[in-house]
Amino acid sequence: MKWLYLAWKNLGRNRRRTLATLLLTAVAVLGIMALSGFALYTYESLKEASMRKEGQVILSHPEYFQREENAPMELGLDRVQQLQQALQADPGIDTTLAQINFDGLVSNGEKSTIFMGQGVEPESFRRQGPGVDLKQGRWLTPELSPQALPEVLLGQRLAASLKVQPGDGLTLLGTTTDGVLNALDVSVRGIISTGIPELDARLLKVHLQSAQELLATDQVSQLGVYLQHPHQDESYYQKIRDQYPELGVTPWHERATFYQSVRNLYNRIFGVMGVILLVMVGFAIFNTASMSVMERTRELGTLAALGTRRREILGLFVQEALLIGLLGSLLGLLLAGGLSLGLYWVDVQMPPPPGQTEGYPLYIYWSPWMAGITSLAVVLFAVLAAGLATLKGINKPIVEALNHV
Amino acid sequence: MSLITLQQLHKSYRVGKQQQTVLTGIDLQLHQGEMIGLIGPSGSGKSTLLNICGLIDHPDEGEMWWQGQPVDFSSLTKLTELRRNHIGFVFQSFNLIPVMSAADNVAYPLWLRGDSRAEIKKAVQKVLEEVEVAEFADQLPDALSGGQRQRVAIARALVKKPQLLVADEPTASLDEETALVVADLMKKLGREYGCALVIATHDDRLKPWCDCIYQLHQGVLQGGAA
Repeated sequence: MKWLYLAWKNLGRNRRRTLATLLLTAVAVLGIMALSGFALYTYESLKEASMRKEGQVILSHPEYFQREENAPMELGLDRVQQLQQALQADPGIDTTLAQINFDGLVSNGEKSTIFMGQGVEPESFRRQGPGVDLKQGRWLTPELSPQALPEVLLGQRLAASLKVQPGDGLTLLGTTTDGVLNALDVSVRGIISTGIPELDARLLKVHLQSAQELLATDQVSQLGVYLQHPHQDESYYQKIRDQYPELGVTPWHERATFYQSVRNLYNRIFGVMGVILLVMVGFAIFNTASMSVMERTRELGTLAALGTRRREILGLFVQEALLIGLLGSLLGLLLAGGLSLGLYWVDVQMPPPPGQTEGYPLYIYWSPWMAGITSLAVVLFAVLAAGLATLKGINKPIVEALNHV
Repeated sequence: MSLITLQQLHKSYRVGKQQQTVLTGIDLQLHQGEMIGLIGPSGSGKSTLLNICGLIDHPDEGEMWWQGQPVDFSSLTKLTELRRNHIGFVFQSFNLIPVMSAADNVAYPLWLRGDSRAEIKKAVQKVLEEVEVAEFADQLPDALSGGQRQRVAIARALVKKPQLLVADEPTASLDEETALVVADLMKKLGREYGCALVIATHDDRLKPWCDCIYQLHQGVLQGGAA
């Protein structure tokens, strides 16, 4: 304790220099926390969006995600209702949502264009969250009456291309599972946007039964499993895989290619930036410790003459750096916390990412785990830098140190 | 048995391309409670001899014994332990730690030794009273006069009751009156604490305080008269 007390006293010798080093350390910690906080927020958002889109676990034909279908629903999933009932009997599973992925032509009578269709259960719109934005009209009705005209939601650019508004009629052309052309008259219920222009130019959503009617099938392409507690995704993935070995069971992250790409990219970019900031802290503390050792060389000689062991002198300087590292980290973490809170109050919008049309709010997560790792790294760099800077000073012969001017 | 014995010590330094001999064939014995003075002009080697006696420098040749045991100058750990437990230093420019109060400076050698808080407090209070600076115990060295600082330095050197007190020009930075008071104090407390004293000085006023005076001239030790 006496060494820590002495180290604390020594920090007050050159207050301006100590403060400058402390602030630099705090700013570096703030930088690391802000970068990692932004990355963590992005990861969480993309993870949640991916899970909302297709579920935490996805069931399909074993080869459905492995190869292209030669004919519609060649790799479809049978006995879906039975499967859904069996899965929903598990109290840990909130719901299951079936989906058909198909394509075909959509025509307004004057113009025809290809579409990328999804037959979905209306519950999916509640699940999907802010990933899809309703621009005009309404979502698909929860229960489609057998007498009513099938409804469609169109991507914004597809609707613009066909010059249709909610309430207008269209015809869908598709190929049934037998390879026969089929047509379905539909009514435009709403216009949606995913924020990705290329997707909005092709996207079309219909009720699941409408898609099955067009394709003349009772199969589905995939069945998304939504858990009561999404963080149990890994255990449920294992459980369902063991339960249905004949089916293709895919965890959400294998389908989340955008999430994986962003994560890989951000980890590298922000990782390198974090290391640069840590090295800056190291250099700053090395500089401070070197200056301090030089200024106090005579004092080092005195301490050694009085019988202070070399490792005790080294320890004194290391503890000074430790205090700077700890205090700088604490200050940086507080600043990062303030920034994180501030961004909840002040709406700062990020510009749309490449290939997208919608911006998003800037948030920074304050992660206790990241705070711990950052502080530990800063303290380690500080201690290492101070140790290196002090080694030369403590190896100087005592007489030489005492005569230092 | 003598406290320290030096036998045929030689020491030289490299100055530029030339080797400069500082000590030549030094023989010296110092007994418990004895006070000896090393006098000589600047560069005569008295500080070097003092530093070797205080185990902060090493001879090139020759032997040194500490209480009959040969001193191993290659073992920094053993030298540190000897200094830590048995040797006190008083420097010309006091060399107090500026961020520590007078009391903490005096307590430092006891901290190093691992004494208890109560023991330290008692010993520090006693020695500060003996050197008559107890009222400045909480002051930082910068707030003290030169004489007061040297008294604190003496207290720091004596608080652990060393067997040897090494003082390099202890009165050089002090005015005449203070110098005599400090010299008197060192001798009195040295006797009281039972430690041997080696003082390097070119201050003739200190001669009467020494049991024995040695003159260093061109690296050779002469004299030994009281």
